[in-house]
Amino acid sequence: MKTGLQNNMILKDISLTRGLKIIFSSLNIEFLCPGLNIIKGENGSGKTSLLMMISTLLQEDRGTIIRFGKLKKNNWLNEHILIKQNSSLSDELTIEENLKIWCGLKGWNFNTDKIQKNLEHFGILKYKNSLVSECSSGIKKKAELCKLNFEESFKLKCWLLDEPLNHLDQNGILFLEKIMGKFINMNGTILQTSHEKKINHKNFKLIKL
Amino acid sequence: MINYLANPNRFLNFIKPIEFSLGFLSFLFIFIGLYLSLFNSPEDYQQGDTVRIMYIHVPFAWFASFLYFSISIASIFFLIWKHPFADIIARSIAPLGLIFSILTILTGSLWGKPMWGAWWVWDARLTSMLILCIFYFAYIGISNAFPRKIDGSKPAAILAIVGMINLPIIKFSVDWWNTLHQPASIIRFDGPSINQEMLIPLVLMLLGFLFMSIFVILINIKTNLIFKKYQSELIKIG
Amino acid sequence: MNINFKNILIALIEKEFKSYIRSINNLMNMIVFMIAIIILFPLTMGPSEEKLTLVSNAIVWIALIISIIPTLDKIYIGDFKNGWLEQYYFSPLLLEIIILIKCFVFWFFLIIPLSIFIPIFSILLNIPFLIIFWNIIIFAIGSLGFCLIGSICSSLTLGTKSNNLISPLLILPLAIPIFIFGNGVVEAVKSNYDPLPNLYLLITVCLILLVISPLISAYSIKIALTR
Repeated sequence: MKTGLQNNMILKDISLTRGLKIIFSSLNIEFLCPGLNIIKGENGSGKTSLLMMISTLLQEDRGTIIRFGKLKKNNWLNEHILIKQNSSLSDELTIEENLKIWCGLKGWNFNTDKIQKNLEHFGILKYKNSLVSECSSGIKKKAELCKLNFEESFKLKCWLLDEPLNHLDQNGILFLEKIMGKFINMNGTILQTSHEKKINHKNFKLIKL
Repeated sequence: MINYLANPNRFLNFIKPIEFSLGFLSFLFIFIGLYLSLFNSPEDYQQGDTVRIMYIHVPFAWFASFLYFSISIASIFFLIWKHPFADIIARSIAPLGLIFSILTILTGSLWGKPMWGAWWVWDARLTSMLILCIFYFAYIGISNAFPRKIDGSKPAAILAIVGMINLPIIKFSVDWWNTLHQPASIIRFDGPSINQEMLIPLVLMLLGFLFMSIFVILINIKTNLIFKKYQSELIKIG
Repeated sequence: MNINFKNILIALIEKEFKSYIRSINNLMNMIVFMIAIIILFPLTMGPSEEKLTLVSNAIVWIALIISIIPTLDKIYIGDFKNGWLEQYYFSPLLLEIIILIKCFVFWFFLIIPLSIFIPIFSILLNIPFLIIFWNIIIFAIGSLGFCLIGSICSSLTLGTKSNNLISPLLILPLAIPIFIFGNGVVEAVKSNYDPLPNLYLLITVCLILLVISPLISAYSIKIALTR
């Protein structure tokens, strides 16, 4: 699945401004590929902006981002998942519908069984028919992270996780670490921002902004 | 030349000497034009003295459309080459264009009341001019509607380009539809159909308005540039 | 990885349909607003038949247009706020096509149901049957163009501080061709001329919008997302 393309993710001399505010000027990072990259920094140091920029939601002013060799933009959009800090679930739909439609939008084959099993892994199966607007933020976060636990998600190249541990309880964190380990073993790259200290994974690269 | 002037500092240095002369020229032309048009031009055989409104109505109308055209061109430049200076130019033109389009409508209705017996009629030329005015309002509104002002540049530029379809409608509305508004009499294939003695003050007024528009726009651009500099200084300080 | 485009289409339509069904009060608001306008006209003008027959058709149109606009400039704002527009952006299907489908679904599930009310209101205002028939046809075609214009305007104003003011201001001037040709059809029917030329012009305007609107909307949505 991943042969034929270079496995690297490099930022070269990046500068990014938002409005008149300069966030990065000549930033150079080489990420660990495959592997876990943890991005640390103070509030406002541009952790989220970095992830948004890598997933093309922000446009860099100068410099080049090498995303797995010369991956075309459209291919890149289908080869990564961005999980933002605040959930991107539709309030009018139930949790199960949200995941189902999300899978559909990605063009993946899905069935109700798969989604229900996925929800069960995170322990939120009993909330599957409740509207997102009625759920607590922890459940929303778990539903959001369910997107990572599909068969197809493990075949992707990269996960961009913005503060994935926020709002999660102990079981949730343990399960998330389990699937993150599985993804890295399957040659995946994870970019994770975090302000938490403890990280259980053995092999990771720490990036300070 | 354009590349050379696109740098804000060079631009500010460049306009410093010509600024005063532009203002002086515009004053001179408008003064002479007004004198000639008010005291030294013939009355119209049908319209009498009210025809003198033409000497300000026509320049307002022309420059209202022309300035919108300039905004659209600057917006195209901005969207394609992403040069922030084009955006500043477009933003600086918009208020003047809005004022011109409002004044066109006002002088037009002052002229229309004695001639047509109504302040306003819903014919093609007048309506399309009103729409131009709305587009100006929308342009200014959308370019300032965002929490960070700079975010409004691109949507406003798209709007300016979309609104460009209105310009040919304004120009040709009097030829395409039967309207109360008189047909074009200056820019025609067979030369102007207007009396020589009326044409001279009109041309003087047009030149005066041209210089005045450039003068005001330059000052606006200067203000915007200085304001932007000031803001970025503020952010540097923290 | 093989991408199943049929799944994308089904998911897209399901999502839009469900969110319109769940927020059915939007439709109810539109209908209540329409009824209010229809009632207000005879009350404020006096109920004399002669006056009403002159303007009755215009009243129906005003009621329809005014009640559609508040919903129309919010096509994208909900999805923009809860992050679904980003999911659309990340989808393998082109954003332009997604927007076209979104506009179609909006038109089909939220605007077309309103055409049921045209005959009811028309009967209340004594509009002859032939004109009611043409009104429905014009509404079906013209409202699609109207939605596409609304798509442009609401995508331009994504992320503004207060988008209520600007987009109605924008929708009306852009929609003038639709009003002119729609009115042309009705006038032709009223005076026994051939209404088809005006109808063809109306269809032309809508076809042009069908091409232009997704392009502009997708472009400005990308701008709004990558801000």
